[in-house]
Amino acid sequence: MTRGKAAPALVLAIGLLAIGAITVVHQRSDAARDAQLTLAHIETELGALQMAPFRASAATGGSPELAARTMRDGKQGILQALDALGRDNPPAELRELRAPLLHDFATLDAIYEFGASGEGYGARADELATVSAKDKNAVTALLDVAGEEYERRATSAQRQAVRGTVLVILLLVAAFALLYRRAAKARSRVESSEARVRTLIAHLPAAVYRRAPGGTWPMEFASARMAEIIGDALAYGPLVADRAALDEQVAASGEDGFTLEYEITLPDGSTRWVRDMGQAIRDADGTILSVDGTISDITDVKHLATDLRVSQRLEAVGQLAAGIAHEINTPMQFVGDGIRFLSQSFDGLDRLVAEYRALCTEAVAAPLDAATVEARIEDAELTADLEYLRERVPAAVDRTLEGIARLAPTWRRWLNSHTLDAATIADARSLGCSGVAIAWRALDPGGVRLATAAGLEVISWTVRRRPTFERLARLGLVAVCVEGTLLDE
Amino acid sequence: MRPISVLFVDDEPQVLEGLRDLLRPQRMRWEMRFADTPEDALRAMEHHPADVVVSDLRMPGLKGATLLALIEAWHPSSKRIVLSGHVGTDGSVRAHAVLTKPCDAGTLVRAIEQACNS
Repeated sequence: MTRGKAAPALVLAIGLLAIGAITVVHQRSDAARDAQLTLAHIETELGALQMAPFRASAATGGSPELAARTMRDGKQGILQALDALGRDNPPAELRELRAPLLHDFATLDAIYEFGASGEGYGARADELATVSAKDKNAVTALLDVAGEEYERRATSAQRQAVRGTVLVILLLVAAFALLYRRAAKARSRVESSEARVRTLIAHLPAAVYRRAPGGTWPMEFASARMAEIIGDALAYGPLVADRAALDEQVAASGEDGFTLEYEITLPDGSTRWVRDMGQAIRDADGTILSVDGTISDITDVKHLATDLRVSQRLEAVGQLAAGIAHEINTPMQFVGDGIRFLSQSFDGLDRLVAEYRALCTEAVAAPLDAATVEARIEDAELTADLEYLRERVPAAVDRTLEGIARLAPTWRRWLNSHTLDAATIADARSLGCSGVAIAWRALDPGGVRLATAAGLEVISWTVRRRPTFERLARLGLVAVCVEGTLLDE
Repeated sequence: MRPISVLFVDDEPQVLEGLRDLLRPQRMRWEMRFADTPEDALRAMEHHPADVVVSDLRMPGLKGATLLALIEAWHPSSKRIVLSGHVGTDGSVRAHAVLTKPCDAGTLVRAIEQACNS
C-alpha cells in the first residue's frame, strides 16, 4: 500500500476503534444507570412488601391469598433483580444484604401467619414488624451504598467516554490535519511541477500544442511560442497550404508518431518552414481523441541547408578553378618561357649572323688575318651564347611543343563543354544563384538572353582574369555550367 | 659585387628548364640554382643559403607553403617569392611577393631584385 493511501486507512481505523471503545464505555455507563434503577425498584418493592403481610386479614380489607400472592411476587421480583445484578460484577453490599433481606422475608412470613390465622396481629405482630423494619432499613442502607457504587461507576464511565470522545476528536483532527498537510504538499508539488513544465515549455525552441480532431482540427492548447512561430494559433489551419494532406498523414500515423516538414504562409505574405512532430492520441477503438505535438521553426535550418549546398558547390567550383588554373598556368609558364627563350636566341643568332656578314664584307674589301677573324668570330659566338643555344634550343622547342600538347585538350574541353542552356539556367535558379559564369569563348547570345530573362547575371569566365574570380566570389555565384562536365572528369 | 644567389623550386622540370633558359641573360649577375622538390631545396639551402627563393606552391610531398615557412624560420635573411599556377593564395603563405604563372621574365626579374633590395 502506498504512503498516500495508508494515511486515510489509518485515520479510518482509529475512528472505528475509538467509536467501538466509546460505545463500550457508554454501555458500561448505561448498565450502571440501569443497575441504579433496579436498586430503586428493589427498594420500592421492598417497601411494598413490608405492608403485604398486613393484608392477609379480612379485618384489614385483604385476604390471605392476595397477601400471599403479593408477597410471593414481591420476593421473587426482588431476588430475581438481585440475581440479575449479581451476574455483572456486583458491589459487595449486594451480597451482604441478602442475609438481612432473607431475615426480613422470614419476619414478614411470620407476620403473614398471624393475619392468615384469623387471630389478628396483636402485640407479637408489632414486635415482628419492628424487627422487619430494622431489616428493611439495613437492606435499604446497603442498597444505598450499592447505588452509590453504581453511581460512581456510571460517572466514571461517562468521564471515560467524554475523555475518549475528546481524544478521538483530537486524533481525528490531527489525522485530518496530517492529511490536509500532505494534500497541501502534494498540491504544492503538483503546482511546482506544473510551473516547471510551464517554464520548460516556455523556453522550448518549439511550440507545444494539442489539436482536437474533426473539422479544421482546431488547437485546444498552444504554448506561447506558437505565437512567435505562426502568429495566431487559431489561424493555424488557413496558414498551411495543403493542410488536408497533412491531416491525412497525421491520421495515418501509428504509435511512432509523425514528423512533418512543411511551409506556412503568414498573413503578411512571408513564409516559414516548420517541423511538426507529434502523435495522434487514440482510444481503445483507434479513434483519434487528440493530436499532441510540437511545432518548431526550421526556416533558418532550411536556409542554412540551401546555403550549405551553395557553399559546397562554390567550394567545388573554387577547387575546380584552382585545378584548372594550375593545369593551364603551369604549361603556359614553360611554353611562354620557351618562346621567349627562342625569341632571345633568335636575337643573338641574328647579331651573330650580322657579325659573320660584316667579316665577309671586310674580307672581300681587304684580306684579314686568320687570327683576327678567329678572335672576332669567337667573341661574336660568345656574345650570342652559341654553345648554349646549340645545346638548349632543341630542348626548348621540345618543351614548348610538349606544353602546347598539354594545353590543347584542356582548351578543347573548355570550348566544347561550356554551354548556357535552359537546364543549366533552371539548375542555377533552383540553387538560389543570382547569376551564372561561363567560359567567355562559349558565350552564346541565345543562352545569355535566356539567362537574363530568368533574372540571372551572366559573367564571362576566363582563367587568367583574376577580377572575374573575385567578382564571382563577391557575388556568391556558382559556375554551375562548369561543374556538370568538369567535375565528372 | 657579389652575384645574387637565387634558388628556384618547382616540381615541373619543364618550368625549371624554361626559367633557366629565360633567365640566362642574368647569369653574370645571378647565381641560379634549381630544385625540383622542396626537400632538395632545403638541402641546397643547408649547404649554401640563397638570397632569394622562388617557389611553386602546389607540389607533391612537402607543400610550397610549408617550405617557405621553414625557410623563413631557418634562413630568415632569405627572401621568399611565390610563383604558382594558383590564382591567389589563402593568406597563410608568408612571402615577399606572390607571382602568378605564366609570368614573364621582366616581372620575375623585377620581383627578385625588389625582394633583394627590401
